[in-house]
Amino acid sequence: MSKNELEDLRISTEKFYGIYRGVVEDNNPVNSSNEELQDGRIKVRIWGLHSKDKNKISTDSLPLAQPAYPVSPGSITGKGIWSVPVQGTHVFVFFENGDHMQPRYFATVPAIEPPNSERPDSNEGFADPDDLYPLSTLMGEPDMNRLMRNTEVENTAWEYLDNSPISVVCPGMEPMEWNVGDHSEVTYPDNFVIETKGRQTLEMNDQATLLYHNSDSYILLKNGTTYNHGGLKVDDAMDTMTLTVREGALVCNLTAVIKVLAPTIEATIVMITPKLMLAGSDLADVFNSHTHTGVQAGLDSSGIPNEQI
Amino acid sequence: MTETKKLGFTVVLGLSTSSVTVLEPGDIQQFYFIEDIFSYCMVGKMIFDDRFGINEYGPFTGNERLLLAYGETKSRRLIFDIIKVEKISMSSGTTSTNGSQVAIHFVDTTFKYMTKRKISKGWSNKNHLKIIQDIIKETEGDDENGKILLKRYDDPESISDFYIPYWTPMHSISWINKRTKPKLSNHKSEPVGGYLYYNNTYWDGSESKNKDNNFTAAWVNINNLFALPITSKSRFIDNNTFTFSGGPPGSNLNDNTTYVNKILDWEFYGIDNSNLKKLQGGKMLGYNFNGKNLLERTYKYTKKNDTEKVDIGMIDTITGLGRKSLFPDISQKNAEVILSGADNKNELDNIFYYNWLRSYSQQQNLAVVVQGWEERFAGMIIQDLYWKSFDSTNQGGNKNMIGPYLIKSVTHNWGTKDGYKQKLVLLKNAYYKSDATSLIDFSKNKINADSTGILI
Repeated sequence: MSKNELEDLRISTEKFYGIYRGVVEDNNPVNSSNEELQDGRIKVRIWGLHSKDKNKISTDSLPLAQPAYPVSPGSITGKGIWSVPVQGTHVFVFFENGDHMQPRYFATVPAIEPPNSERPDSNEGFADPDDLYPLSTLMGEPDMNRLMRNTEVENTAWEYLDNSPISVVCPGMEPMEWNVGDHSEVTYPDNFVIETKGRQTLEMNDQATLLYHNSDSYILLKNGTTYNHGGLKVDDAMDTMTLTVREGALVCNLTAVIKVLAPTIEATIVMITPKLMLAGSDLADVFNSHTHTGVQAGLDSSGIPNEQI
Repeated sequence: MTETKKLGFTVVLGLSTSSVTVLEPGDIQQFYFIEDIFSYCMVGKMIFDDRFGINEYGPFTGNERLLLAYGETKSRRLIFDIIKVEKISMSSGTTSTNGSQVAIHFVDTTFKYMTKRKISKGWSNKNHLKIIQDIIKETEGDDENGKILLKRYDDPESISDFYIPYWTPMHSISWINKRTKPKLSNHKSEPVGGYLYYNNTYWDGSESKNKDNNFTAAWVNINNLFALPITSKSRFIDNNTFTFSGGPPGSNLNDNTTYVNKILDWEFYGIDNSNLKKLQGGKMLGYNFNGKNLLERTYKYTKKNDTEKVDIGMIDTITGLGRKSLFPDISQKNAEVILSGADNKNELDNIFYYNWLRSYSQQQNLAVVVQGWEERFAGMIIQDLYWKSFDSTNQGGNKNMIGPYLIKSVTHNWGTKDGYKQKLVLLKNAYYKSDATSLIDFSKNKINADSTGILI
């Protein structure tokens, strides 16, 4: 007998080479002791390999998929770029060594969301079990961020920027406000946007750079000007002025300085705020030059702040 | 339905009409099927004279089933699915035999469920036995004939996460078999992995009346299979003494002896200690993906009391007999390296041991033909295969050749001349106990040329 009987009887192990698409169902899995893993591994249900029926394959019984991050400073002992996709995200997956028990996810995949009537059923597989994503307010349109597409700015950082001009109120002065511009001058695809689950946003394009926090604090770098919106609090009773950037680390220093300056150079503060000349030397210059000259350099006769400083 | 009766068995070919007699007694030239502990399903073949021309004229589609009844009272009944039909000769007649023959290849009814149905199912933190049972349950169709009874199983220790990516049950069970090990409590020493799933004709008499169409799968740990039967030990042992006579059956032997009619394959190779010393063992490499470290496992084929080893508790001696090469790495000084994707060292052990034991068990592979007996099945142990010329007191004999033997496979054959015969492929190695001390001293020169029997 020339054939190898033993080889004939063996069942070869099927290898899974190639790239598969899956849906993140659990981005914060726990171990058998119900402790969060917090190591980047997630549960992904993969088209063509996993049944949609959770009675057959529950989310828990999906294999843990390790992240494969892009080239960066590294993925070791804290060095690197770290993030975990939200549930419901489509990701590309490959299997290390072709082993179906060793999935790795390495990219997220946007598409065009179906209308709300065809929203994925969160009780079935291939959907966010928490039914949060995709966002119901953005169904029926591409997953691509609206700031990229620039169709409308609702539900984006610019929703606040467009509708909330910077206002300054100082004792004894007319209230002032001005806009930071609008987003319409940004064109697709010349934009770069990072938006977190909580809508923290980093946007960069040839027109501006925006760092936005969902508490409506932001820093906007645009046309040589730094716009900052925090809160400008004037306390008549205490005769102080406090500039705050909510939840920003910069706030404390700035506040402290301004508290010192405020009683003597109220009008000067108005000049500082719109241009955000926050460096210590600038403040020192302001202090030195205007403490002695009063308000004459702060406002012109119409009450509009001049920008000589 | 049309059937034929001959030589102690009945075959019924299930056709959609009973108006045509396709098979007559005497039409079947050969009928056999094979059960094997290394095979998930039983397969067989039937060759018969095609008097009618079933392909050309008959109501034959190839989807028919065969019912086989055999045994002393025809109480043994098996149903097979036809998977392939061959026309042996091109011509066919309609009224009489004119040399046209048809060969039908068939499998047991679990085959299609084990191979055609693909499952996507997952388990988390589940015992492997539970997973196996779930898989078998998935194989059950609405066809009662396809129902599988897991008659014998061993309770494993391994508990793990596992999912089937639209694999067939056969593929899935194969994956698990290599990675499962039994509970420590069932063994004196640390158990190692390796399970077998097979289908055989093992018959539990208490259920044979009502469930005679069902097959009885077994999922057993290799340790248990080779060391000793799991439960009801006596039921899995053929206590008949097998004697090789060299003459026609019954010539000068008592009635309690089951005669070995023929020895088909048995070879003896000159082997000495130096060859055995070359057994290097093996090496498997894996990688712990989460722990980010290489897993390097080195194994040696040694006796059980050695320190560095695969724990092969049932092996007393490593024999050099057989028709296969002993190990893939027998002539290599450097151990074989197999890169595996396993990320768990215990899993590596199990995979290695599973592959190794399957190879090892067939090193002494003896095929004999015996009188048919329906109580004999694959997975059974033959208590004593007695070599008449070399009894236990004869120092010239090869005591290692005395049983017990494990029946690896049984070919149930009904031929026109010999009646019911069984070809048994027997495994000698990998038993827990052996009366023999060594094979090394045995040589051809010690064989008495005048003795009856064994031809080497």
